[in-house]
Amino acid sequence: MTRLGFLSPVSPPLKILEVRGGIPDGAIPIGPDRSLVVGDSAADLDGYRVYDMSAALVAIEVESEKLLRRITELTEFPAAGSILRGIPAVIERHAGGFRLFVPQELSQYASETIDDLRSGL
Amino acid sequence: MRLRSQPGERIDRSHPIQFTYAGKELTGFAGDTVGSALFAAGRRVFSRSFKYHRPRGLLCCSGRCPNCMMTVDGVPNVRVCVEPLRPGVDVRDQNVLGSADRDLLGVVDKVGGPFTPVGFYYRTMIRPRRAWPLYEKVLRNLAGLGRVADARNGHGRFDTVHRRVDVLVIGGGPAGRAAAAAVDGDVLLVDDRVGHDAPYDVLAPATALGIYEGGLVPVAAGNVLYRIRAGRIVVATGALEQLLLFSGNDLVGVMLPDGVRRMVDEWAVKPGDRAVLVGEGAVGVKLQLARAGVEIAAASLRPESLSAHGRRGRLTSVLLDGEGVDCDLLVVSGGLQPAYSLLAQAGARIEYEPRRGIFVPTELPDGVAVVGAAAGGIDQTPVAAVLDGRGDKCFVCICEDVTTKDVKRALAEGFDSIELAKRYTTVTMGPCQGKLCQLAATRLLARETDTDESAIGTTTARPPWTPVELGLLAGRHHEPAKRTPLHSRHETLGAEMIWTGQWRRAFQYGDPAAEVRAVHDSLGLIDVSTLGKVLVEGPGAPALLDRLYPNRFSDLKPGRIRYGVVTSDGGRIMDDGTVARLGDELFYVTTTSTGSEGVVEWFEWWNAIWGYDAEIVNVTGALAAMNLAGPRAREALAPLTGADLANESFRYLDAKEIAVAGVPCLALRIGFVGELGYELHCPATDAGVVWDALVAAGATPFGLEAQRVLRLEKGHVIVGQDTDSESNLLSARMQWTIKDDKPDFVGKGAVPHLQVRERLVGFTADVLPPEGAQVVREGRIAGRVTSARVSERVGRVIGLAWVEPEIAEEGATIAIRVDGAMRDAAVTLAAFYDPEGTLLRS
Repeated sequence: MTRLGFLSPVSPPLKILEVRGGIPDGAIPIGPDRSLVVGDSAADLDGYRVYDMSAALVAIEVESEKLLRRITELTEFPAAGSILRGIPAVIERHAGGFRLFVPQELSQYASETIDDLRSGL
Repeated sequence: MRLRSQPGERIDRSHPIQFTYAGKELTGFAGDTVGSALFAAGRRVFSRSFKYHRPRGLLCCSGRCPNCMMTVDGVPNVRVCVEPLRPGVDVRDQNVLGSADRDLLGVVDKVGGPFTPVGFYYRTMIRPRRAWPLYEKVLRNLAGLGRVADARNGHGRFDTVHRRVDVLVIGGGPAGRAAAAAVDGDVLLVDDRVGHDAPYDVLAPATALGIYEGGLVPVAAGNVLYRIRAGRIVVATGALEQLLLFSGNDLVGVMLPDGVRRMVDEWAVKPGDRAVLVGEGAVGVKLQLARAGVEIAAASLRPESLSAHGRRGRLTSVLLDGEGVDCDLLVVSGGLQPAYSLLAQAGARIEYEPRRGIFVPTELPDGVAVVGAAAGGIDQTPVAAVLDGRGDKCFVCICEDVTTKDVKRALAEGFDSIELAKRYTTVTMGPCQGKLCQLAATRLLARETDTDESAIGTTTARPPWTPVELGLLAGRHHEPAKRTPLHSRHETLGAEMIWTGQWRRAFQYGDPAAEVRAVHDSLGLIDVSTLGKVLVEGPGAPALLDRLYPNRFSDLKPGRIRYGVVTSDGGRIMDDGTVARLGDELFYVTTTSTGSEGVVEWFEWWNAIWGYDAEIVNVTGALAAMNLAGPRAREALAPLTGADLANESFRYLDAKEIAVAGVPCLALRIGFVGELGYELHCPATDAGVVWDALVAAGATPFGLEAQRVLRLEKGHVIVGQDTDSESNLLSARMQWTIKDDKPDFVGKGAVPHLQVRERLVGFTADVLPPEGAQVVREGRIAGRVTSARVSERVGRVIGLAWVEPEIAEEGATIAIRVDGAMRDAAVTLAAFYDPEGTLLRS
């Protein structure tokens, strides 16, 4: 069993690491000395405290900027803030659109609400 | 009533639109507003006034005055002069008893005047005090505007859109358009009228409601509220036509020039048959009136006196400089006033300029500019405060029915500043928000106090600049629900789900009593993923926790668990949970389900002050947790893990990393429900695998209700349920958690001063009291029940209650009020079930 092995999913859909103590190259800053490293990053994480958040966050992709404007007031990306009036989220530009990382416990609510907004409800 | 085609008219005569007014079918055209279509259909009285129920007709035709407020499709207070006509729209009168034409409440205007002077309700309706609710009800029914629609017939959804622009231009007149066109970059123009084709982005019809710090401008556009952040803001809101003060200035048929211009030019309706024009601005509509075939009976740029006279609230004649003139249209202009409110909200200084008789914005804040008429680009001469003339009432504020007499009376009573007069008379507080009455009120006060307008000044400008539906400000209804990774399992099992804070939790699966029995006699499984979970790691972690908690963790051995209570610096109980030491510098902290975010903030806040080298990481969402409890827990778990679960190897209050069904877990041997148990914390994504394996091993899922019975049998406290903001460790009988020999911890200074006014005790009874039931002693309240359940295992009702210290003795009898009757209960200080903890340690 590795250090904090109970934090790491058996087969995570997307590897997400929270890095404490700085912002390595390629990481998404979420605070003055906190960042997220998403996917199979080649970032050198030696010297940082690293926590596996693959199970904690769910990624939601939003293609349209118009839809994003109905979700959040954040405009400069990547950014950490809130969506849908209070759900914490990290947002980055991704594949021509946007990728939102939200807490998994709120992900169903967030995705259903975003889908409603997309449908014009 | 339609004129022949007018150059530039907005209506499309090839597209008739049907709508109803008061149940009657009427027809307008595409491009009409509801107001123009009604006027074209012959309607002249559009509303009744706020207080006196006087008939009111179209005045400004630009959505600024209150005269055309009607109920449209159930939405009250819609200004129909700017409300686009839509097929099938249902228009109704409001604030009337009868109809707008024949309103029985109009009697207030006829006979109520002498009895209802300004502020009369402060003086005449104060005795007897108990009758105030009746007075209030009467007043609210007699006065006011439309009624809020029944919530069950909600009229629409509202939404919010966020936007950021480099430059925001507010106002789509010539100056605003020129300003927008001159911007090289990201620019958005907001226009409260119909949009226009432009090389820049236009949002219309839309109204800027205010200017807040950081360049935030909320803009109302139908059912959408735009929250726009602008790098720079250009205000081009133009100027507002002002109403003159003279007797009868609110009669139906009195109009402002711009209203007349729009009626003729945009909607091709004839505003009257015979007109009198008064004021510099009014003369400017001669062309429109001529085109419309309206006879101009008289005109005066600067009359000495003027009074309007009518029948049933409708204009029939005027007395202009002593000469009577029959007319049904009086176009008056009290000059223009720059629309400075948004600038004032942003922090601009507003100064009076006597040469033109207007207030102008100066000293603009950074990032805000003003162009056009809003900047004061107006050429005019001041007008008189009041045009003398005897007759009907003379209104300063037509929104709130405030007359010149009311303002004079307020002055006589000592309300001699514009702000005091505003609060006493409500002048400038109505739907127009001072657009039509601010300047008039200032002029009148200056005249009556024999001073000048600059000394009087203006009232404070506050958002919203234009009335806005509360629904728009509230926006879309959000009720975020947190779901555990096992939520779908609970639904599949048919669990009754309830809210606990933001969480959705399984309350019971059909038979809570059977669930309790399963835990006691065999094996139960509960989803406790909602528990807060926090890692505290670093060389400073032991010292940090020693200072955060009253008890000690620096001496906790790796692999061991200790209970902890978080207290405030006042020594009050905030949260509780367990602290497991996973390594020399690594701790795993659990909190209550609703407390995790608060505890994490609390930890981080203190550590920001103390500066320990320790990371505080909230892993609540990353991990699921489930509690496997019951005498069969060990034998059921053993085949699913390679770990040694023998009692000697995995003791009570041990923490170990083990694999269960192939999933890495942190197993905590603790027992909130009082039986042998293992709390398994695993990655949220793999929780289903562990749950399914445990259920397959014979575990019976149990819900919150069963858990509440089980924990009560052990006398375990739920923070927030059994404690409140006044509860401290001494009164909750948790003094054993306080390690006073530590040099410091949060709340240490408060410990010597903690008072024990009541103690938390257990009790047994024969009747189940409701939670919150009173404990009564010698006829007075001596405590309250916080939790109570029927326990099959104990064979009685059991509960927890706060009682006075004098009766917090084992075996003492207390009286609890249940359904009005006193019921005896016996105080119990130990746990009701397995008080020695033998089962937990087995």
